[in-house]
Amino acid sequence: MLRQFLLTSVMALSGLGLAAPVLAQDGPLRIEITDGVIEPMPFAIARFHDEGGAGEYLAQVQNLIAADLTGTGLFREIPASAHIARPESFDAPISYEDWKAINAQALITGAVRVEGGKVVVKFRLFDVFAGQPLGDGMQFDAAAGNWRRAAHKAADQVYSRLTGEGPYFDSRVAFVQESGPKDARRKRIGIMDYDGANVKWLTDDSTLVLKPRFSPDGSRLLYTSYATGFPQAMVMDVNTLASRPLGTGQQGTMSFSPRFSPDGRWIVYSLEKGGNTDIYQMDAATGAQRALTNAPSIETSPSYSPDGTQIVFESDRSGTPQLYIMGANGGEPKRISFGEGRYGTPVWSPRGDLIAFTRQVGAKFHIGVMRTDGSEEKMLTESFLDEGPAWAPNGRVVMFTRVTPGGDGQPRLHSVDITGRNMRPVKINGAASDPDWGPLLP
Amino acid sequence: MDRAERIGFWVSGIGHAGLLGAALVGGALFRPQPLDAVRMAEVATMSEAEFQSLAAAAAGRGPVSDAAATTPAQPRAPADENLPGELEAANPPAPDARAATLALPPSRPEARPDLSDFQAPNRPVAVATDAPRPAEPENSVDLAALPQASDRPDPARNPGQPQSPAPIPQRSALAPAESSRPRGRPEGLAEAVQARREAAAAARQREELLAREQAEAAAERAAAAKAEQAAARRAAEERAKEERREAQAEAEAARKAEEAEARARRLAAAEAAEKAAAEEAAAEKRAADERAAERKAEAERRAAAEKAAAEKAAAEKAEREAAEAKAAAERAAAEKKAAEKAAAEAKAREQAETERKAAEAAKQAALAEAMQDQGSGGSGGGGAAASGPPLSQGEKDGFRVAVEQCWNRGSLSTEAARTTVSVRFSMAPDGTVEKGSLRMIGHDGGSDAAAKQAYEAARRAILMCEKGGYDLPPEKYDRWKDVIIDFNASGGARVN
Repeated sequence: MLRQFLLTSVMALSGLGLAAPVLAQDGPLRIEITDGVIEPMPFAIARFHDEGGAGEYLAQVQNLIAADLTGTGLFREIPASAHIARPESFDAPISYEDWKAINAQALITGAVRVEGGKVVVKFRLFDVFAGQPLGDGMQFDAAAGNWRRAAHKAADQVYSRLTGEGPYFDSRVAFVQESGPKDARRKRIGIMDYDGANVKWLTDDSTLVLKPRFSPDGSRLLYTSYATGFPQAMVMDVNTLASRPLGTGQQGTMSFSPRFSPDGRWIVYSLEKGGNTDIYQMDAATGAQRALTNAPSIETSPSYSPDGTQIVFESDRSGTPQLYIMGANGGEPKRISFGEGRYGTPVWSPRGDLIAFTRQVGAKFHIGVMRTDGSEEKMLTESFLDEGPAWAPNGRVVMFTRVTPGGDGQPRLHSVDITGRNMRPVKINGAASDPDWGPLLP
Repeated sequence: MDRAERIGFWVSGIGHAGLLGAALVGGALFRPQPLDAVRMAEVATMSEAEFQSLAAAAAGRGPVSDAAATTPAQPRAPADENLPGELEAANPPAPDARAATLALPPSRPEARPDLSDFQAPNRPVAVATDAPRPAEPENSVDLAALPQASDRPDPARNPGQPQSPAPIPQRSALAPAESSRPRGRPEGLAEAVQARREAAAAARQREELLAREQAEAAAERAAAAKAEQAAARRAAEERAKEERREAQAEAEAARKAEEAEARARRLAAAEAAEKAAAEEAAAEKRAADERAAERKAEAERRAAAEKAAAEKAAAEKAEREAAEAKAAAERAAAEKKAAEKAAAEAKAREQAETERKAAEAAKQAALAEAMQDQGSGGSGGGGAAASGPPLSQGEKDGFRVAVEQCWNRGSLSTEAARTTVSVRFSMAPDGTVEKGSLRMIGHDGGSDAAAKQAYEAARRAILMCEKGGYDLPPEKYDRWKDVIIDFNASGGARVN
């Protein structure tokens, strides 16, 4: 009997050790969510307040901010008719419950006034469900004629705070306007706001011009001119409109596809010499130039990485045009595209993560993106003819040219999100091609 | 006719007699009772004018006329003995003239909250001197008059512009010229008050959470002990059953007696274990340890005398029992051969092994019981409230799907959309999220800025789909009052 008692005692003691892990199993409920939804975020813009002389600008500013946001495809505006709350002033407290009730996830309040010939726009942004402001209120002013810029700035701030992406609404796009029949096109270079407003012409249509490219600060524009009958790379001061040919213009050569380096110090371009095309680099200040490639194949369409250390370009050295990357000083290029068909017009994203390109497979053209090592290639578009991608300053949106089929086919500018969603035409009158997206304006 | 048959006849006879009796007289016994007739009363409506006159009469504004008293067929309360003119309670409340002169309801705003932190001096209006003045063209269509970005004076080289005294927080570097911040936020802004209330609420919640966690821990311990005890009991029973079956099938008559003895011993052992554990629990652990050690020592001495090692009690016991079995077998069946004895020994050893396991299970059961007793006795440091069983997979999935459908990744930057964030929060018993408790406890795969963005989207998801509260079983509140959700961006998303 005693022995059994002893046995149970020993076992009871050892049992304490067994029980300990059970006691330790305590803590919060933990779950993992891997699947979500992708849909435009609903937001509301409370009616802006007139704080003096806003007049017509009041509605215009408010509408432009809404148009910028909805135009990204990432947001959906809840119409004012559904609003329950109407704040009495810009500084009035927010009744979050009223905005929650209409399922507005973000709320923008604002006010406009005009003083001394300036349009002053201010706004605040709120996270409705969290019941707190997102960042501080901000205010922008611009000359009355430039009220759109103030509205774009406000919309940019909202966009950045909600998405985490960089802003891009307050930027401009250079493009080539085309007129006349297909076999006798007249072209001129224009510049416009990213949304197609405020178009201005930089050249007349007396000579053929192609491929405008902004300098990193947006003050200069490179383009290819056929004024001499041969393609010649030119540089234009956007402010004075003065143009000059790049380099000394060697006899019997053709230069085209020029593009600035990210620091604006170098210009990289293609030069055709004796039937062979290679990539050259020129000092923008001195005009001194040197070859970066030296191959019997055609190398063209160079584009710098944003850190300026690498160049992506197109070459047919493998038999078909493919994409290659080399160092900024030349060297052995590394092929990054291996898909079927022909690759061309590579452009490095200002964010550095992706390269956009045109790809032709069979009778279809695509605008695509891939990582800089060639992985994760993804086609964003498909049509009869899509070409010439250009990156928005935040590297989130690509603008390109789409040509409609047929004898009277017209080129039009379109933009698409790098997710491949939200493709839409840019609202400008007439045919346009060869877009280049300039930097975000200061 | 033997006894069993007789009983059978009796049972059958009584049953049939009862059935016949029920068929004969049951109808009379169970016929439906007649229902009471529905009572009816006449009602009539009264017009507004009649009501007003009645009210006026009641308020003493005029003679209490018979007309008022006989106001048509007003349904009278059954116990109402008063005449209408004398009514007090039944009268409609007359408009109180004083009401109009009452002090206005506290329309005055509540005491002004302390917003000293919001009353920082307004920043100068035109501080934004770090941005160049936009030399915008006067909107002429002239080509030469395009915006002259590069002509803008560089602020660094512009001595005429005052330098900003200090970095201006939240000032966009992108702002056009002369941007200034909006005025300081006005007093009494709801957010300030709300933020303060939320902070207080969050503090309260933290305290409650702490208390709850302690209680939960205690409850969990008790539950764990109980569960273990139950499991141990089940295991012990199972093993005992198994053992019995095996023994019955294989043991010979000689060993049946031995097995019964062993079983009795086993039961005794279990009993003793429970008793011992209960005793130990009642006493303090240290005392129990000492006693156990004493007993152990004592037992060791005795065991040594019996040639048994206390440390290997089970093995030793098995051996001993095997020997006993052998002896029993010898006594009961002396003519059995040595081979049979050996077989019996082996069987006994096997049996002893299972017995040892059963004893261990019994020990655990005893221990668990002891711990439970200890817990309820107060020495365990917590109440004995059960926290309920863990959430089922279905319940967890329901919760996950509810949040998932509000997790919108479409408006996130590409980097934020790739960032995984872990969000922790507390929930109220009604399934609503305690907003102040929401916080990011970790992120993976992106910059801090991207993680902040991803967290905001996750927070929106949690708060938006909460609706009236998440559908979680209230009886298991302890299991979901504190939640961590990992928003893992590696998965897919439904495009709407």
